[in-house]
Amino acid sequence: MAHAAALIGYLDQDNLGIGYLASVLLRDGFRPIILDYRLGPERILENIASNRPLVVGFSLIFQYYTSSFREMMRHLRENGIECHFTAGGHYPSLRFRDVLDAVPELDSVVRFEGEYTYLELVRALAQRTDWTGIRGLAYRGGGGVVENPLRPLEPDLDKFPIPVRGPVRPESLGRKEATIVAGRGCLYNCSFCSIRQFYSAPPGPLKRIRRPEMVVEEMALLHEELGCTIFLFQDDDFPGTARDGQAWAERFCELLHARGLAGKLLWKISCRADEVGRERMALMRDAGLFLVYLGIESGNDAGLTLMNKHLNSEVNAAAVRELERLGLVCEFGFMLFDPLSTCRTVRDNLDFLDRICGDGYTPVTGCKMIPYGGTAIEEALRESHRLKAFQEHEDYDFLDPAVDALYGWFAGTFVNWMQAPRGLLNLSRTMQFDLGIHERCPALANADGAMRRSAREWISVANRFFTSAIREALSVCEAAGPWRAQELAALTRRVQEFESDLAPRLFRLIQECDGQRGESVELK
Amino acid sequence: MSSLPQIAARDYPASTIEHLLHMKGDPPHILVGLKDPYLQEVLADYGRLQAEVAGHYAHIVAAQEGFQKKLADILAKSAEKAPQAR
Repeated sequence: MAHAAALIGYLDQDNLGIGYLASVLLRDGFRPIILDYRLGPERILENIASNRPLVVGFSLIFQYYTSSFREMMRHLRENGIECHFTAGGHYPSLRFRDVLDAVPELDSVVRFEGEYTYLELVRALAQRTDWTGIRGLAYRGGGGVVENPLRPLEPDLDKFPIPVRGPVRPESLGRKEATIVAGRGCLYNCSFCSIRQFYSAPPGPLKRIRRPEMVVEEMALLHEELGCTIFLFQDDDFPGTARDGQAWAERFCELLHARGLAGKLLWKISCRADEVGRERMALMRDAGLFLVYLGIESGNDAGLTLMNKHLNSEVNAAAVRELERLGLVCEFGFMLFDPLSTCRTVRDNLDFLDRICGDGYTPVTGCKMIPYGGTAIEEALRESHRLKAFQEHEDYDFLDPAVDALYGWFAGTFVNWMQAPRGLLNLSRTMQFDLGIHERCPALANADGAMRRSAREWISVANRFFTSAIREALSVCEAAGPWRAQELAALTRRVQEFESDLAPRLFRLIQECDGQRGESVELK
Repeated sequence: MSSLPQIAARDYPASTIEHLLHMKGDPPHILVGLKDPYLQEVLADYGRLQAEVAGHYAHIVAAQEGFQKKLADILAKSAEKAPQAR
């Protein structure tokens, strides 16, 4: 029987990072075992004990998972699992010393692009040869941490086999979804993001793009063999929208048409607001693009400067309107709070959200910028002595105590709205997603006008309630009087009442939409 | 009785004070409020409060500028790797 090698991580929407590692192992004759971290320590222990892998690799994307992953490793060790433990992902790659210090159960860290490094580690363990010289590894040794030279990035992404995926289950409206990537890396240098740091440390280009032929081939395979019709591109910056991506987009769309897939498959991408060009988006829409996730991030120019986005809020707003004109569904990321937030910038952000979401075209969202390990923001906060330990991770206070008070209220009050599976954000996005699919089914597109109007109206009401509640809380926090706690508590109750009223309505609307599945309906 | 909460003058933000000072066609509760001894104290100390508030924001602005400078240096370092696609 082939040697096993385990990979443990969060498997939301697949985990293509793990999937690629597994496919490279499989091609080399090993037996990859992929386990969802959320299975829990007992089931994972049971699985590891029975499969006896040579190595267990932990996919640790963000620093916030470090302590819970450590608990898992400790549990495995205490129960007799003695094989090699390694970790990979953005955070351990950039902060390998911190991770090796914090997690004594780890034997090594696989740094940066892990396909070949992990494979060589598995091979060395299988052959019982020395693994300490493998490029891209870091480990404890000589009284400290040994950092091996980094491995160059694979210049041709199409040399990697198609990633291993979990079982493909029907998701939206009974359709099967698959995640996919067309490239890796990003040419931009946003201060809150670690993608650039991740791809700039090892030798090689900052951004690599797959051939459109290979991407379409993978989509066709997933469609023909597994029945997938919805594709979610996980690229940080989709190659077809990049400044130099016109030829790529044209070829990609041409191939989808030529293979007869343009009328059968729908796809979602992520891109920057300044990459929303009418003609190219229309070209892609006609080849199946139905949803665009925009990295808007901020609604005020001070925030956008802090984020090093190199665009302004007018560009952001114009992109949203353009997507609406094109008949595409839009989702976006937005950091209502950032390390330099003041009451004024929060108000500006709320005004911006009203501009782009007030009419219900897209569900409102907002969060606090998280100082991810290895990002420029994290480094600047650390140098400014603003990073403080909060429970299991580091975070920062705002410069203005009124914003701290507001964020404290916001985080507690909107946690369900923003994060719960049946919170208003998820329900609104699901509704939009489903209606976006309906829009492309001729048999359904004309039948659900009332549903579409209801959805838009309710999302609009929710969006406007969101911004007005935060504005009200902001005024209370600015006043800083002794009545603050009472007024904020009363506002929280109003938010909860609003959610309890609207969430069931949206849920019923989704069920109604789901009732008109149109599984056998050809797309436009 | 004033409908404005009885709080120390320092707890009024500048925006509220400015709002009260510039309000035309005052609604009844503000008219009552203006007679409030606490608010009278606020008005009397308006200059001092403005200075305090300005000092508070000057502190924030200085911190913002320092942070932006640090961040720009860090970003400049990470931008050293020349972008090359493919």
